[in-house]
Amino acid sequence: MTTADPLLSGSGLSKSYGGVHAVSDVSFTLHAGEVLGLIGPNGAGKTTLVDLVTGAQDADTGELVLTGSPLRGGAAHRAAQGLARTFQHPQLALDLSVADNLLLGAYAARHRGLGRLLAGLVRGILRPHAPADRALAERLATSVGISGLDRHARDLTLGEQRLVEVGRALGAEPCVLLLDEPFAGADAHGVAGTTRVIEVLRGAGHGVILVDHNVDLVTTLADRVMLMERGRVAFEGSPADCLASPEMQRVYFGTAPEEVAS
Amino acid sequence: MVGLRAGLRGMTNPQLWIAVVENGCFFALLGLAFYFNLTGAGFFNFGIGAIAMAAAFTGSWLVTEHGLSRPLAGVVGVLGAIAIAVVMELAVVRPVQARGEGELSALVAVGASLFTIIQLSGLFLGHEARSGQPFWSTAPFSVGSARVGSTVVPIVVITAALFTLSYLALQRTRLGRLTRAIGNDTDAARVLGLPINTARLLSFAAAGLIAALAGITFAGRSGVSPDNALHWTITGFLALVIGGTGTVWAPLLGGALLALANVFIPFYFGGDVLAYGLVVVAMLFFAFRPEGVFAPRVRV
Repeated sequence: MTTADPLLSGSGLSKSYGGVHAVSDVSFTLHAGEVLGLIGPNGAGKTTLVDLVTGAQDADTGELVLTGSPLRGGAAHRAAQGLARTFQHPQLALDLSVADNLLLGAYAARHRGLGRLLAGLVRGILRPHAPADRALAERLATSVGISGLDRHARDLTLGEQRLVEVGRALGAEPCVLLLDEPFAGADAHGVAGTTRVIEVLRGAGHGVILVDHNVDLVTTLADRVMLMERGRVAFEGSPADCLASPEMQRVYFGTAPEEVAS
Repeated sequence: MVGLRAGLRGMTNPQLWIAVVENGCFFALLGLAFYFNLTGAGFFNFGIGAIAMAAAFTGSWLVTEHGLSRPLAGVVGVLGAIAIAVVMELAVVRPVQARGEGELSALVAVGASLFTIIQLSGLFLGHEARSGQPFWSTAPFSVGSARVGSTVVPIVVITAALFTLSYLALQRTRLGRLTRAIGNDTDAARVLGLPINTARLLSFAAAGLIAALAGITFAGRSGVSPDNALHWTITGFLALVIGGTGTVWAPLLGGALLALANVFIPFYFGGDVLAYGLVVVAMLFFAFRPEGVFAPRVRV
């Protein structure tokens, strides 16, 4: 893989549910240090595409390549390969504390195998408060700007849950982070925390796929934007070109620009 | 006045309270085994009673028919129970769930496993009830007018130890946090790359271990036969339903409440009423508090 090669690419991805084509022949590329924005109305296929990339759902057709190698296998395998995501509806372990949730991503990345888990079990009973774990949780919390590590996840607001999800994904040290509507229900603090993470990842040469309905934010943060409509890519290009495109007008307002003018 | 005296006679009878403690510990341990499966695999393992029975019945058979020492027979019984639990996960539950046939199919498959274990136990080890052969018992002693049997202290100590260890393991270790996270949301855990299969397997093994220790110890007092399997399964399930799933200690309370009903309903209303009494207690919880006493808190 050369520096010109994409970090992650997908070609001909499709997914249908009976007669409904949720994703139809979608191809994309994501380069190192790039933020790819994914916009489109409800039902456009954005979350399904994220599911296909992360292995939460199996694609009917299509290929994925990550850092030059075909990306196959289930979700756990893909997470181990360096893909991390957040969910459209936050999916935290509600019985666990904020700190414990933040650490789950790191556990997934580092504590695989029965032997390690059992050794950790004995160590954990004998020495329950591992300082390294606490330090990592604090670092992740600082990265996304959330406080109150000992609070239960179930006591968090929606915006706080989204921040914890972002922090949890960071803990896995991903090469590609897929954020599914991270700004929905987030206050200014939440938006700032997620934005900071995106900028840090971009600066570190990682890739980010950002899905959100907030077109202003996506077009501000993304290097490239993909507009989806009914499972297909309606437009792909720079944020400025996307905003000015007739496809954007048609998808969001149902009319072409000349009709708006008239 | 006469009724009040009769009522007090039961409540102040220490022998009945010792029975409550012993029964309560046993029910609580079965409930804890259910809790482990529910927490780690999000699954009600209705094979728990059969696993407890198989461990106790095998241990008893080894001691009475083959002259094995009680501790050795206990170890064999426990290891056998863990093996059954692991096989149940690998060969029954996991394949059914992997085929996407849903929880109901898995429950039916585990129900079938329960009856298979009962039939196999009867086929190979006999259908007759056997005296229990606990690997640890103490000399009976008296406290005032009450007699403390040989299995009371062991089951109290084992219950205290297993609940404490379970609390520490689930709350304070990485494996425990992983297990709880997986039980909370298995789909999310899979996408995160958490070791779901390993954690599930360990939760089944832990449930098998707890059920085996409960069965072997309690059989020292009650005896054991293959017919106990279904009753023990229902008892463990009720202990969890009554206690709730909000904390690891919940089955302890559920077991205690169930034991109170189990001991005092026959005392006041006669043995024939026990089954109906337990049904009433269960129905009251199903109707008015289906989430149990300790329910998981949810932000609304």
